[in-house]
Amino acid sequence: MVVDIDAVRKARLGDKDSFAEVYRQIANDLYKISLYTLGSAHDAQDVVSETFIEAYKGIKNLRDENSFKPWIMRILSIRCKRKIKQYITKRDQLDIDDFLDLSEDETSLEESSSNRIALVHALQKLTPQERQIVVYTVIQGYTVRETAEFLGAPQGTISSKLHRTLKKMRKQMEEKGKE
Amino acid sequence: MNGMQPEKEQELEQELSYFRDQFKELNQQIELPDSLQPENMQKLIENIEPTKQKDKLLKINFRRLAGIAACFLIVVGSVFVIRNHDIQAPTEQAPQLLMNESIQEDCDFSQIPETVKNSVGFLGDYGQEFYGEGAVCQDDGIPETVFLQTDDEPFYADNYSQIKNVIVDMNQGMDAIQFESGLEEAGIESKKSVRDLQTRSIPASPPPQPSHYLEDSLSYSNAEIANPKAAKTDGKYLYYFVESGSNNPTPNLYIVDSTTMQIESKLSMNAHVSEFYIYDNQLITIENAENAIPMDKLSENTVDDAVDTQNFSKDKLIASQVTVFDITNHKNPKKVKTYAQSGICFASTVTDDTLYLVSNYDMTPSSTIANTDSNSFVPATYNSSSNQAQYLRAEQILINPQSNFSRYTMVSALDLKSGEIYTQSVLGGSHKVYFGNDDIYLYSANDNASQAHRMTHIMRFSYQNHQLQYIADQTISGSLNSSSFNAKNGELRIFAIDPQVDGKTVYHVYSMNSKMQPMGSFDGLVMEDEISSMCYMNDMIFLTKQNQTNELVTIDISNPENINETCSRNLTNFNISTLIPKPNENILFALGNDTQTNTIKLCVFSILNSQNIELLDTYTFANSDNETEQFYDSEVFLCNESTIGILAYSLDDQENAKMNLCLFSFNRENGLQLNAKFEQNSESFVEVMNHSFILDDILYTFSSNSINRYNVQTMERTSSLLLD
Repeated sequence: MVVDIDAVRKARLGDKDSFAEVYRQIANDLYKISLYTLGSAHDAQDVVSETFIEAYKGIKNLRDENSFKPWIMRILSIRCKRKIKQYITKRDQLDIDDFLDLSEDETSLEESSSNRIALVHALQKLTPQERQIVVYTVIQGYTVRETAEFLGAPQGTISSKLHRTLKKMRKQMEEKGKE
Repeated sequence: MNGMQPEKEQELEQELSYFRDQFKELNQQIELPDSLQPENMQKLIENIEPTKQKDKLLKINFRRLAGIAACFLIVVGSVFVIRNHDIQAPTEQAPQLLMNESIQEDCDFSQIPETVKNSVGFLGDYGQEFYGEGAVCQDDGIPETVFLQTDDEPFYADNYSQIKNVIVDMNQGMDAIQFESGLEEAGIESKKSVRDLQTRSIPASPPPQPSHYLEDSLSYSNAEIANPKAAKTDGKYLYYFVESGSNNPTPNLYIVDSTTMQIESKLSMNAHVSEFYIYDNQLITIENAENAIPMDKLSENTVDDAVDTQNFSKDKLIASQVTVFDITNHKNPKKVKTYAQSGICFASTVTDDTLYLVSNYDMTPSSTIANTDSNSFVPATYNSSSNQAQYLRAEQILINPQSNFSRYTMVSALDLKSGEIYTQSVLGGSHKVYFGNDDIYLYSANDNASQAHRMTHIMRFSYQNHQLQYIADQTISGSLNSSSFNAKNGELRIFAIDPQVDGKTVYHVYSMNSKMQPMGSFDGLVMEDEISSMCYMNDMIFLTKQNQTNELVTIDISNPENINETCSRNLTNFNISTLIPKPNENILFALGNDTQTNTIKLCVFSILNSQNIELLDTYTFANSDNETEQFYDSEVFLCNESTIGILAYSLDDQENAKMNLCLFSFNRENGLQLNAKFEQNSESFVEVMNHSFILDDILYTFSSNSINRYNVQTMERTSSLLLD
């Protein structure tokens, strides 16, 4: 995710077009992170919308344009956490359909579905917090340090939690493969 | 990667690479929905302008300025001292100010059970509350201590219209637009700002009488339990909650006779039990459940004329539910009653024959507020005794005008003797609670993620005559968690963590009086290191640092006007993750990781002389026990007065889990002694023990599908109970 710092600077001055441009550069990432974390396309859209508006409202308080990325990721992370809290007891499973209906190419879906099902099932078995770490590090490719910054947690915690979570996922996928 | 062992780092990189490949295909097929396309999103901000940081955080109470000025003088004085110290002190005396490189250690704190975190001063989840970009800094980079006590005191609401207005005001911008649109749809008018409302001051409350919220009198007094939220005992019976899994479709709560190891009864629960208590012959469970408040039982006359009741929720809501079972006959528990209140339960405790239940009921713009026709903006309760659901009356709702987040924090007191329940709520509440010796503290980080400050607002309440009485509030710089607090004789000590934009972190210690007015503070800890554990003991704070240096630091808090660091002891190659204080013996147990051998290590320190912490003994697993395997997620806890337990899992060559429980004793003559070691091998994580406790030389271990009993002396397993 590369963010145009000039656009951030203009957005800070209240330029709505520039803010929309900055958003365009990061929208896919914001949505994917939310979708994987929350497991619901509907909730992911909610969270991204809320993040977009909150970021716009607060961008004047951003002191350093270079910090835009971690800053908006923190907003997203907080919004996701709120959402997770709301349904942590309501349902703790990913909506598998939100992932498996993504492709319109049915042939492709059939060919790859077993692997994707195994992946989604492995994700399902994670806690929302574990999922969030996996989303940032594995799916979005951020480093442990960046992830720790986004999630506001100690780097060591993220690192060891990631280590254990991946082991857990690997085991889950292997078990799924045996079925 | 952040100071990990090279082989572990390589293993993690390989795993990352594998999973990144696995997700590549799935990831590519996710497309941004139309609703989130930039051109559509831009419409959302057409009528919104960016806002500067809210004024209210800067509204210092000038009438109290004189009192606060004294505090600022102390702070400025301490800053001055620190600055001079920085200039004059040799490197080894002030290492925390001179570190530039950032090295992270692999240490996971988050798996430690909440109760252990609380008792040992766990700091790992501080990060969950960080918001914004950093605190206000002075020119030299050392942040100011900020106290922002304002005149905006919480007040009890007069009517629902007032509450509605507050919620509108709390949801400015988009939230207000959506909310007011929702109100209009619902036929509700009024856009009056909360700032225009005439606030009603709280009647003077009598001074708080001591009570003991902190005491959880329900666990067996001689058995501290690893994860007591899942396993408890009253000395005769074992109570064990098991989550649903592949073997059991519903969560179950088992009651087991500890002598015969027979299941007396099995309660099938509707939802996850977040906590349970045993009181006399009552088993009390706390769940978050849907439809716990049957809206068809709603008493219409509880809503005043200002609000159209038709627009209130008849929809399902998640609520916190308390279920009381009579367990006079353990073989046949009988459900006596249920009580529910809006919101998700996040804290509870039992003391003085009273269960306190705290939940949060959020009014989020995307759901609740925008759709007043399907959700209420007044929280409700349900009591099965009267079979009636009720909205809270306006006078039961305390409005916190300092908050900009429309959240109700519900606080109920259930008298366990009489069965009476009393509920109140704070609108603009908090998402964290600390049960002090005689007070309840609600606190929350500044909820505006774009806020430049990292501030925490703390409200202090007493609970008398079943009435939540607001005492005072304060806003401080830094973030807190439940182990940050230490209340003693009306004085409140707070340890706060305050990350800066330059990568350094400032750690504050505050002391406040019963009115939450500052008595002193200490901001001398500025460093790039992380604090891995911390605890209060005997008017001292003990904390451990890791990353660039491993140190045990002590801070004397006995004199609020002169809080100061008294000792800094170097711990070479030792990352401490958990501190367990034992105040009666003036000793401190420390569990951590030896960074050279990468094995866990248990140490005991004498704190008789706070200026010279003495290392009494060390037990290193690799050296002393000929262990070659790696321990993960180790957890230390006091099993009873004389036994220290360490629970840790390891993986064998086939990556199968093995749970290890080591029991130690300690005395100053013989040092640490490993008395027993129990192992459980399993191909499945669910079969290994994850909870344990000791009752009279008998060890009980709990896994998801069994309870085992051992003789601690002989280490022999004497009984095993398979849970169906």
